[in-house]
Amino acid sequence: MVPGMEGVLTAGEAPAGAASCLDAALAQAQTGGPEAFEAVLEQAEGPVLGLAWRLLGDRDLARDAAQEVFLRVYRALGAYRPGEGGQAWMYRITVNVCADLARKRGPVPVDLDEASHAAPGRSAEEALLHAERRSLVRRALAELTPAERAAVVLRDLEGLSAPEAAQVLGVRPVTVRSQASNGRAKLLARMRALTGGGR
Amino acid sequence: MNCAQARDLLGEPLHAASGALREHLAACPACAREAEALRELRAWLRADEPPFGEEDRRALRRGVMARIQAGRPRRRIPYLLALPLAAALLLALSLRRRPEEPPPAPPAPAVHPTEPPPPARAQASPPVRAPRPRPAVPEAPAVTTLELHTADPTIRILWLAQAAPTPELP
Repeated sequence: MVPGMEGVLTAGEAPAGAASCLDAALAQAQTGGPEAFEAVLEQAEGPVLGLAWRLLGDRDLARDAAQEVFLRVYRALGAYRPGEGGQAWMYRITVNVCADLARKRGPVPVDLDEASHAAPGRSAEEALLHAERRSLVRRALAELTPAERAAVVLRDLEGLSAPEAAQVLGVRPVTVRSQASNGRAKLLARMRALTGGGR
Repeated sequence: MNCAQARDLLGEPLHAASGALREHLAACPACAREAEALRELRAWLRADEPPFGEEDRRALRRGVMARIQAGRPRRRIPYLLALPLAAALLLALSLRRRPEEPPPAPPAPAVHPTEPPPPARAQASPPVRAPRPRPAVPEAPAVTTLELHTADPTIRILWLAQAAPTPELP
């Protein structure tokens, strides 16, 4: 194997078991009422919060967005067809909710206070470097257009294929590939400029 | 596999990584550098994990369930039970109101005195004249009922009049 390929080939793989558990929970919630909906929350709250936070760049707004996403999912349960892909369906709702909130909010803020929080189990120097890296990531992501950011997040962080990301974003796969490629190029250039990389 | 195909596949999840791609990367330094840059970028992005812990997830769950429960319609009474209940309620209300209602109007065709006239006013009041001669109209009742016949035999006009203040009819 080519050195370094392990990270590329496995980085975006979404856990298939989690997706099928979510599908089952959604199907159960369609007939089970509010109590059965808690299983949907347990399956999807982490991914929805994470995606909302990466798209919005704001912790409090991401919480609001996640709550709105689940309420919309609950109200739209009747429209969900089992076997269609619950994860993609919920991601589509998340992207739409975040787009609405982002339009109201304006440009992406960079939450540097949050980035400076020390991770447990690290030395002071490691924690400082980690916090610096996190703030660099946020600044770089904040500089992308919303479409580029969504394409990069869905493909490189959430692990969706181009057709899956295209379905979520409501565009063609070729458009997603182009947006992700542009976003990656900007991020790499920014990352190297910020870290002093010369490539 | 050419370079364009290889770079398309580089962005795909694991299932898209074929043996042909691995062979191409082993033979193509430019695409291998591209793959390395992508790996580096993904590792860099993943350094910034979402800042949510179990407490955040629990709070989200509580908030969502509370809003769902708040918007949930109250337990509905089944229609089959609601109709008899509504009928019983109406019946109870009508029975309760009955003693307060005035007695039903008499079906009388002509004139019914309802109370004896006060002596002084009875003398002062002029006799009530009906528009046409009618039998059995008592003199000076306190309240009289005048029955007027129209051209249509199915329509009758009943006119209740008090004895004293009633003006002279033309």
